[in-house]
Amino acid sequence: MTDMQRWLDSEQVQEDVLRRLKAARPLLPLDPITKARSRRRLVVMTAVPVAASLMFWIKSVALGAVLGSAVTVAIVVPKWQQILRPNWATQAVPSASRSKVAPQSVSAPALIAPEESPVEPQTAPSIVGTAAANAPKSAPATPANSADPLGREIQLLERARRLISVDPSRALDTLHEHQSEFGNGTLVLERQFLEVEALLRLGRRDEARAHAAVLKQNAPGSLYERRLSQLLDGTGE
Amino acid sequence: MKIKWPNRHSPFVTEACVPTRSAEADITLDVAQLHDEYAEFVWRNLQRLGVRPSELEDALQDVFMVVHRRLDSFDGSSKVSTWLFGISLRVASAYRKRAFLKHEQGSLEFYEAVDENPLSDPEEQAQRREAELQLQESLESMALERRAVFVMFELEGLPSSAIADILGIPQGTVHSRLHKARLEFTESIARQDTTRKVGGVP
Repeated sequence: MTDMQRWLDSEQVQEDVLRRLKAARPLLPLDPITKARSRRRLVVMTAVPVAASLMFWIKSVALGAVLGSAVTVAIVVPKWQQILRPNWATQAVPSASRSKVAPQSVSAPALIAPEESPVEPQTAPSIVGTAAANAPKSAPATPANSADPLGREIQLLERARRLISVDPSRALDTLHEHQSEFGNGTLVLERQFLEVEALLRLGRRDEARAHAAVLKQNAPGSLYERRLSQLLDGTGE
Repeated sequence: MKIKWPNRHSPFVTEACVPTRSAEADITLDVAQLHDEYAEFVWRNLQRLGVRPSELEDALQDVFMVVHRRLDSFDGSSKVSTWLFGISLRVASAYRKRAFLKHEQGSLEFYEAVDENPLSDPEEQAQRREAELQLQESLESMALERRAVFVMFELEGLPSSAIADILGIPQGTVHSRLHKARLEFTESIARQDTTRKVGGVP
């Protein structure tokens, strides 16, 4: 195939076209330094995906291990705590007295998740106030718990919470015990809430309202407010 | 990432398809080797396709990164240079779009990047500069495939057979593209002249 004639070699091309074509500059050469730099960068960049994928693999394995450990701890530790903790809240309550207590529409939330039977074997201490003294006999973990103030608070309140439905007066005693031990402890709001509930169960409605007012004052805008309203008025407000 | 080259089992591979260096049987190529061999080729083609000097190195890098990603999909049914030109074309197209979106004036930068000869006449310098800018503007208005053919044929003086070889297209297609490119170039010059007259430039 015969080649076409370049415009620059032709005499029939417009002057304007030729002037522009003649003004063209030669292509810039690729100097060895730029080429070497480009090659170096290329080698690094092509190596990155391998390194990055390896890094992501290691990171994902590490993350999986950490998450797995966290989940295991979250599941196993509470169970062991339950096993080691003395069964404070279970009290010996005659079935007849239990049947007299009407179920409350709103109950205090569990501080320790799993529900246990409120009925305690007859061998358990009958006086709640001396439970701490008797506890070491039945549960070796108690000293550890008593060394932990928050753990002790939780124990007392949990015991009170379980007693509320079966024996509100003893629940109230337990709450007073909490008050005498910890005063304005970490879980004071929870105690006040349980007090309101226990008083309501005992039919001491005015006292309950007074306690509720104090609690609302102490924790304005908190979740307790709504729960108190539900308890006292049976409404969402 | 490596490939076996040439692919002897491919029915499309003939001796003509195989680069000279790969005439030895089963040479293993990788991207670094391709870079060593074809960097200048890609560099020249990127300029032919209108990539600005300041972006040439990045564009060169981009081309070989694409090569790296696509190396195992290259079956040797075409020449390596043709394959590389195709990649360069797409990379240059991306750079052109980006420059367009940023409203960048590639032509101005191109010629400002190159030193003028300080000994030449200032008026002559100005005229030359204007001609360069107009040339660049005309080239910018062309489709990339036609621009490449036009630059190779008209400005670099490559024969159409060599251009066909580089682009991996028939010689007749080169002529066809060149013909269209010439038309576009002439129209562009006419537009420039009209604009200059309307704008009152002598």
